[in-house]
Amino acid sequence: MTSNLLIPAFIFFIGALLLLAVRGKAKQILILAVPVIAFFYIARLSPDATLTIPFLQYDLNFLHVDKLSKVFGYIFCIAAFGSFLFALHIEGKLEHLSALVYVGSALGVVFAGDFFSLYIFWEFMAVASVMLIWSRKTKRALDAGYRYVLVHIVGGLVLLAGILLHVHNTGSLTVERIQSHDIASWLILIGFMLNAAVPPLSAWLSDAYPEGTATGSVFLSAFTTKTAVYTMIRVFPGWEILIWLGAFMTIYGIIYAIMENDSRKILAYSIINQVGFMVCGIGIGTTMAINGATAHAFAHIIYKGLLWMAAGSVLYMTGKTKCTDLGGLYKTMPLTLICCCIAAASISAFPLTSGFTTKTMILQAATNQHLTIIYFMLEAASAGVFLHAGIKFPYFVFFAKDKGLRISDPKPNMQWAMVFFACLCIGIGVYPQPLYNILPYPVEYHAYTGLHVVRMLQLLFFSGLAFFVFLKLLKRTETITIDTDWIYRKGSRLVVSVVTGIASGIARLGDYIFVQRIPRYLAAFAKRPIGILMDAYRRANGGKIRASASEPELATTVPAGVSVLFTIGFLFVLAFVFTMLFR
Amino acid sequence: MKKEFDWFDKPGNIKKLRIFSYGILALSVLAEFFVPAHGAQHPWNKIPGFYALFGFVICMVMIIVSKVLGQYWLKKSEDYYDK
Repeated sequence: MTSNLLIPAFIFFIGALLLLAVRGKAKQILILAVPVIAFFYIARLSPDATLTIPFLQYDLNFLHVDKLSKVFGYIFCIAAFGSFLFALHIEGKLEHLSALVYVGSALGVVFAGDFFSLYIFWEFMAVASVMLIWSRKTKRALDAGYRYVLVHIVGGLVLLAGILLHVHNTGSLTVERIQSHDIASWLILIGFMLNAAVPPLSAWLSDAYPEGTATGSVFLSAFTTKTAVYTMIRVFPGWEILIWLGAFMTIYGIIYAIMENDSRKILAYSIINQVGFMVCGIGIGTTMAINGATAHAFAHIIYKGLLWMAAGSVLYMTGKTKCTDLGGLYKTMPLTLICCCIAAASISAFPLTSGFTTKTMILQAATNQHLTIIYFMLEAASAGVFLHAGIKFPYFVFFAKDKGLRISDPKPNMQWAMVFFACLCIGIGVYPQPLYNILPYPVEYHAYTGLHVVRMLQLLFFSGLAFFVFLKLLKRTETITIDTDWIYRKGSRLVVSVVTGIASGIARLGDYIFVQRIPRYLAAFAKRPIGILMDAYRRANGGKIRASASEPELATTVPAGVSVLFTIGFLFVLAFVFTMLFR
Repeated sequence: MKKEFDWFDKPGNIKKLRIFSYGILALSVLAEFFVPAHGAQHPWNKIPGFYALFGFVICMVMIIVSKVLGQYWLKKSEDYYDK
């Protein structure tokens, strides 16, 4: 065992600290250098490297290196580099600072060898990334960011509960495959599922990501969901429920993306759709499926980042995101259009693009396991991806009806970032072998057989035909689409009134028992103890009750009663938890 | 001033594009007959043009399902959450 002093996350955290001291050109060099340094650092990490810190009776391992953690480490650094290049022109430091901490935390999760350090970085990610939403500085962004943080904190607590139970049951903190289907495993899985945006726990994504800044959402699209995909690969490979949840996700994302009018919401829903493929692959759990999920995550981060860059460029130049406000931009934004089309082709898995060499591995894994229904759900989703992300998004933004917007391509750094990602999309599509080499298991898969190519082209071309045949049904409307966030956005009002009702009921009850009745008896008892006892004696013998002469009144009634009741309740819960945990 | 690129706004070009697209559609189906199949095939793969048909039909279904769900349930006015 070699003990390292540095973990990849700290490179980003140190970068964040240095950022506070620099400005201008130095700041730009710094944010580009950090991901490059981290990339080469990860490349040089040997599999037996560790960084353990003793904590209570456990050893926390902040550095667990294997092929899986390395491939996610690489792609996170590449995504960070491209995203920082895209955001290079941003003047202030807050967005860069939060992005550095966000990416660093994501890398922290990837290299975490134990659940406790994983959890710490997990929560860091949520808190750091919210600044990328709040920096948009609109009321909608503020509200959406607030909901985003709350949802992730709740999800984090579920994860923490699962981790504590798991550690109690097994005595092990190590992040490793879990096979027992007990309550601890389910809680951990739910925590992961929330970050992977598995419906019905997905609404935070489509609520918050479209409200991020033009550059911030590029970061957001890459890290949170893919970190969750990574942890699921590590902990829950082969869990059958994930096959079905993943397949459902792919379709769910499409149905919503077709309904949406906001171009960035379309992209948000297509993240859910694409992560569905990965979750399904994790559920299948064979070496081919795990390779497929990993490779697809790798390719997805790039083409999805590129799509968000295209949408971000449009937002940056026009301030608009709704399909009903956009159209005809092909005339003046040629580079953005070309890059967008490359990304759209990649997400649709056109041959010679990255989606084709990665996503089809998951489909192949499904056929190998004779999962026919799943296979057809995934094929349907592949067709649907082309429909919404492949055609609908570019069509309504760059073509369709000319809305008279005459804007140019965005700033040079934004253009370079798009070109960088577009080259990677094509590169992985044309020559996937370097990616296959770094996957967790040896790859025995050939994407480019004649039949694969022809069938994929048929599927995609005729999906495209369906788009234009049914264009009337797809006409954009100035609407929003309700998702499960309705429960806490609209339903919350109902919940609030019910909860306040219950709370005030409890308060009144507590007040009645602890402030009015008990002190009254105690006071009366203290005043004339013998008399009270005699009264009780008489009452027991059927005698008449004598009214007490004077009764004390207490001034501060409500708060005292509630807090006493809650304190007693809380102590009971604590006592219960401790006896259960430390028997 | 440089003349704007507006190729896609001309009806004649759109017509050319349409004919080109129909050609591509036909080619993609025809190509299947010239590609050799290896090993055991699933029953549906024996139907020529199966994936073309599947792609078209499934997209039609998804569009209609979205339309119905949106029309009668999920689509709301933009100020829905502000009300």
